[in-house]
Amino acid sequence: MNLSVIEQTLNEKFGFKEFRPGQIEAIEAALQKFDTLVMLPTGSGKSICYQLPGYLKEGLVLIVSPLLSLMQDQVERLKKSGERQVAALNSLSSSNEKKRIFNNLNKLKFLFISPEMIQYDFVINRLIKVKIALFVVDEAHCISQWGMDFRPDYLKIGEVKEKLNNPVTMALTATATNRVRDEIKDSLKMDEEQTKEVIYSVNRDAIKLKVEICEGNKKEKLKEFVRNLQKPGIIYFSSKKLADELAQELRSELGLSVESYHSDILTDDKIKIQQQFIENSVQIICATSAFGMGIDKSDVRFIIHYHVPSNPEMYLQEIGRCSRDGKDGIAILLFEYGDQFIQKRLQEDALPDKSLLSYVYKNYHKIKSNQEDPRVQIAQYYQKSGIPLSIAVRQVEIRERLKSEQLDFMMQYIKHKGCKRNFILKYFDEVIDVKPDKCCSSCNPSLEECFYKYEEGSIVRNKVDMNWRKRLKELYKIDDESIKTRKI
Amino acid sequence: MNSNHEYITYFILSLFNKDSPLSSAQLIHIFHGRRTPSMLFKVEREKLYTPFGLFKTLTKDKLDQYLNELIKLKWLDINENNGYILSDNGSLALEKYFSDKDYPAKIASLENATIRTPFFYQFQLVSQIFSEAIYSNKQYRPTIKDPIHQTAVKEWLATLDESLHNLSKCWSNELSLVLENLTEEEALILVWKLTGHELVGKTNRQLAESLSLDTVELYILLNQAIEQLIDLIEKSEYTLLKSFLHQTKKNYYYGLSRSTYLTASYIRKGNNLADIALKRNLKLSTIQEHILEIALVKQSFNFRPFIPEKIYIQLHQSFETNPYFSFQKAKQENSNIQFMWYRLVEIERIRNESISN
Repeated sequence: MNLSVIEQTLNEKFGFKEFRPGQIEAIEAALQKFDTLVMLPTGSGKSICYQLPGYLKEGLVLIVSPLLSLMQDQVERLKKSGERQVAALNSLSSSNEKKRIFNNLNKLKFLFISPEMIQYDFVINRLIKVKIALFVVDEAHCISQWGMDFRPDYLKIGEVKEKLNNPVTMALTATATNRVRDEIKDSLKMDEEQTKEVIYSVNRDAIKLKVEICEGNKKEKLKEFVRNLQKPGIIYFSSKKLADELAQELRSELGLSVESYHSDILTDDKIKIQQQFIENSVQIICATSAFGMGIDKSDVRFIIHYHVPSNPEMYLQEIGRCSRDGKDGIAILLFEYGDQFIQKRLQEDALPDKSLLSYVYKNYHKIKSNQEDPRVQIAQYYQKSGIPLSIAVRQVEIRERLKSEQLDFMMQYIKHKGCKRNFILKYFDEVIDVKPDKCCSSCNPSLEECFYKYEEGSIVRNKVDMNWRKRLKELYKIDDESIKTRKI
Repeated sequence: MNSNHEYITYFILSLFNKDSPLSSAQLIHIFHGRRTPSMLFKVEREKLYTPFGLFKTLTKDKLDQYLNELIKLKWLDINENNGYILSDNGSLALEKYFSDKDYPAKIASLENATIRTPFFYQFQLVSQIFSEAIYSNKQYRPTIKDPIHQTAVKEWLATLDESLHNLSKCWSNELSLVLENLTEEEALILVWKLTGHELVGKTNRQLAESLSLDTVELYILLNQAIEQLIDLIEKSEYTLLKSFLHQTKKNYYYGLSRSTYLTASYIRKGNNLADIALKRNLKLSTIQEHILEIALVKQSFNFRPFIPEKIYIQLHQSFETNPYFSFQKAKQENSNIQFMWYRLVEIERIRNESISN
């Protein structure tokens, strides 16, 4: 297809004049009917890689997406850009919504679907009847047991693809090692000769890396960084309680506009916090890993990790929310001896052990389906999927070992005296030829000072006039005259 | 006491009284909004409408921590019936704590317990849609993302035969007027929660900070304000707000559980209980539990036709002679007596007592 047509579509549908690195290769591969494995770093515009071909090919773009919130977010973005023929099919869809989707399948352009939903025969039987322009597997690293977010139900997507008569496939991920990429191709039954790989480095030069070793002074160090660093920024915690506590301390002691964000915050309040962060009325978010997916904010200037992340993939994904505008930003990892044990404990709490798996397999009919404990949920998943107990036990053991190795790698990263960037990239089988300016805290010991900025406005928060009548007038463009004349 | 959970501790303390013991297991069921007839009756008898379904994610362990703290302070006494009662010290502590702040006691029935939350989610979404429509903006992202709420709002809008712009004006008019009937604090909380064109609403924490309230206090006041709003709309002649409220109520079975709502529909059509049990393929006792749920949730429900006149009089007389007249005793006096009859009369007596008090 003519490049100018593709560029014109980019401009018309997405409002961009130029492609970002990797996008055009992925788009052209899909248009030429090649299966494609796309690895582009966080914030590089991966969704355009499958959305744009959708406009140039006849048929439905079917996107398997692992997270309901991410799915919802993508649907809203497309709708906001004027696309009406888009829908999401998942466990939250009402029966009416499902009916509406199936009745309009031929008219739909984009259908986001959860991995568990796409496995149902009644869904496959409907999908077989429509022309699928592109079969997309988003966050494809979930397929891999070696990836950070292994989802057992992703394993069956390859079979689904075959049942759908092997449509042209695009698998997307932001962070995957060679081993994970091989597993994705294998699981999705992507033919080596018919598959193109668009692999870009996970490295982001604009994000400078710092590790700060603390000795009983982590809170003070955090406050020092937050006080001085240019904002906005995100601070990641492993604990909801600490996220709340530190947010409160940063508000009261530094007078900053700070909010905590985690699973205990009410759903509508979460959206408000996201929106306030995007429009800069909130400067800092103290979050657990629940925050970030689908947040499109280009000017985040720092990411601080108060606790060591569980693995390098997650670390890169979370710091990838910094500097999306291409301007420099800093990622600081605070470490204090003993932090690794918090992560170890969290890992232990995340997977079922052999006795729990055996118990669930034996007593599955007695256990209610809506279990809160994630270990029971995972055990139930294995049981329901018909995976033999011995294999489930083995898979869990593999996951445990992997998690332990990943945490060990993070510990080595923290302790490494040489270039931090070089070290973390080795995990992804990458090397850098030319180090960026202000590369990391090993290459530049006073790195953080390059990002210190006194911000006058940030010290005292503006007092808001809480007059509800005035607010209502602003919400509904009500003027005094119209109040007098309006009648019900 | 830890100042971070001061309000919730006093609020929990306020749910106890000196006469009827309340156990931790009962209280957690009340916080989680468990709808068994016995739990609903406990709520009715102790007037625990406000906490019903209020803290659905509170764990029993956490609740026990609060209760242990109150026991240590000797504000709660352990009762022989495996529950707790308010001590004299506890009563004094409550009086002192709530002397300079309003106690949230405006929720006076179970009628909207399951409606409040979805109503307010959808109310926020509709308010945003109308705000954006007034500014002729179609490029916005909804603040309420749950597809269930989005679909419900979409379906409601589809029933209205008017342009979005005109509806928006009507909505803002009606809203302005109805809000004038709330207290200043209630109106402020509700309006500042709303998101609209280029205005992002406040979170509970932010509102609590602005009003110098505890976050839990704000959350309870918000619930109370939503209840007031629902009541005002219900009693008003504001057509658009009323249509929206009725759609929400309909979607949530008018505050009943789905099965009870179906039973209520059969009753409305004139079926007797035995017929309903037969038609619905349910036990008669289940249908009788539905009647109790309707009576406890809908204060206007006339349950007299479900109690034989003679039994009704007999039960009232027995209660007059002995206010602690038990079902066991009633059964001894008349072996044919049904629990549903006994409980319905008990409910009526409780309500009559409240009115006379």
